[in-house]
Amino acid sequence: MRTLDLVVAFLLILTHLIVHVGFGVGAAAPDLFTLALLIIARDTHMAVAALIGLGLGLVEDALGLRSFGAHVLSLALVGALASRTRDLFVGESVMFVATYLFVGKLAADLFHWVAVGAEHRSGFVRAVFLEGGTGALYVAVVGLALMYTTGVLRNTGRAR
Amino acid sequence: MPPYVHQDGSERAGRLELRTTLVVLFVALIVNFLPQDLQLATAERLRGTVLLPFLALQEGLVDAQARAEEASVLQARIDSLTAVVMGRTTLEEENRRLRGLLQLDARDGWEWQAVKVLRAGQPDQEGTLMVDAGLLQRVREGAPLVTREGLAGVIIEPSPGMSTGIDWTHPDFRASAMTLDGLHYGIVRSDAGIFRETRLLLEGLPYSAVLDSGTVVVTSGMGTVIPRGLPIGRVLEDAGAEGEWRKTYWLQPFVEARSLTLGLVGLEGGIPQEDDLSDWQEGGFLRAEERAAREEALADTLRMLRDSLALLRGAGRGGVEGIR
Repeated sequence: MRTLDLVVAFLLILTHLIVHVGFGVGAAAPDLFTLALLIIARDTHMAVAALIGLGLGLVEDALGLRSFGAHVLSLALVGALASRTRDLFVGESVMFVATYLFVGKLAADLFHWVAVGAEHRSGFVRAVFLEGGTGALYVAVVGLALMYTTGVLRNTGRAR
Repeated sequence: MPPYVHQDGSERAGRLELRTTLVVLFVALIVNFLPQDLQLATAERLRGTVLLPFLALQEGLVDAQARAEEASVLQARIDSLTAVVMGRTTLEEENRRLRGLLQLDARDGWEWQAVKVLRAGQPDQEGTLMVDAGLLQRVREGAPLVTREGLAGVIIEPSPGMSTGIDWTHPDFRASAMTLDGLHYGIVRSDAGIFRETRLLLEGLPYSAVLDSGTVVVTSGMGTVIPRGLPIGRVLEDAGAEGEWRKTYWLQPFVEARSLTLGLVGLEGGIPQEDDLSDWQEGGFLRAEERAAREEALADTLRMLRDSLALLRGAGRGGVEGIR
């Protein structure tokens, strides 16, 4: 894994904590945890990506009240699957990366919706398609811009 | 799908990595089914370590905001009348809140703890809040969180120095309620509309109940630790019937959840002496902006009276000098 990817991912995690926890900004800021995970996962082992997802999920769930563990499971799954995409899909085009980020974030929301339990979740269409879709688009746009400006994009999805 | 192969090309190493991944995912799954005590302890530990600097940052921001408002007002007093007019809005608003809370605290048999309200800031945690008081201050589970306007939320998970709770916009919010005259009882809960606008719904009323718009709804004190008589909202309109036996009404809440920064939390051992309705006299069931408008109108009236008196004094003095 490149040092640059690690640095960018670390800064994204730090920014997420400052913006969401420190400043209390809600949906107005993108989900940088998932973005960081998706960046790391493309270039690391499946087990490591799942473990990072598990750790990030724990931090995310510590701020919630109900359904502790939903983020843990969803991010661990996304980490593992995102890492696996490296062997299934090869690409470094803007379109591919945008799709990868969009689907990754959407999958995270879908897994979270499933894991959160029937008593605490809102409707599927609203949670996954409307809110999830908007959030995924937000992550894809922000992620793409960030990866492009920092130089992470040039190495993403390189065939082994 | 091709067999998973390790980065070095070895299928054996790939199998090992796959197994490790499955173990990690199994652990992630297990976390969901941990006993609640263990989950809460883990969350508490994370909030006390990894998240502590970020929570402290938000607390510091709330403090700084309050201090900045005070400082700006002091500066405004010194500088110029224009600056006073500019800065007065926030000072008056904050003073009104604090004064309201102090009055509320001093009145009844309940013990209250003044708290600062912090927000988690996670997109999927809307309606969740944290207050800077916990078990050490005798904050208990289910304790009411109130403002001068009325019931704002409840504490769900008290920790030693900090507690987590929900405001009335949270889907889990429930409060037993009654009309101010005590004739009709029901349950109040939040209800998210199609466009995520959160409203309060009073349900469980008998089919024969007819409530006029503007009817004040307060807590009934039944079944929970929330004291009787805390204002919740006023009836907006009929929300239809549930089957043929129950009626529901939309409520306009007294507390604006988004501007919730300061409040009071009921403490363990607080026993209501009587209805807490005494704290909200007739005409005192108001939203924050209505209270502000009323106080502003009162201030205007006083100012006009003062001007009239000054004019009368001037005229009287002129008259006396004329006689001389």
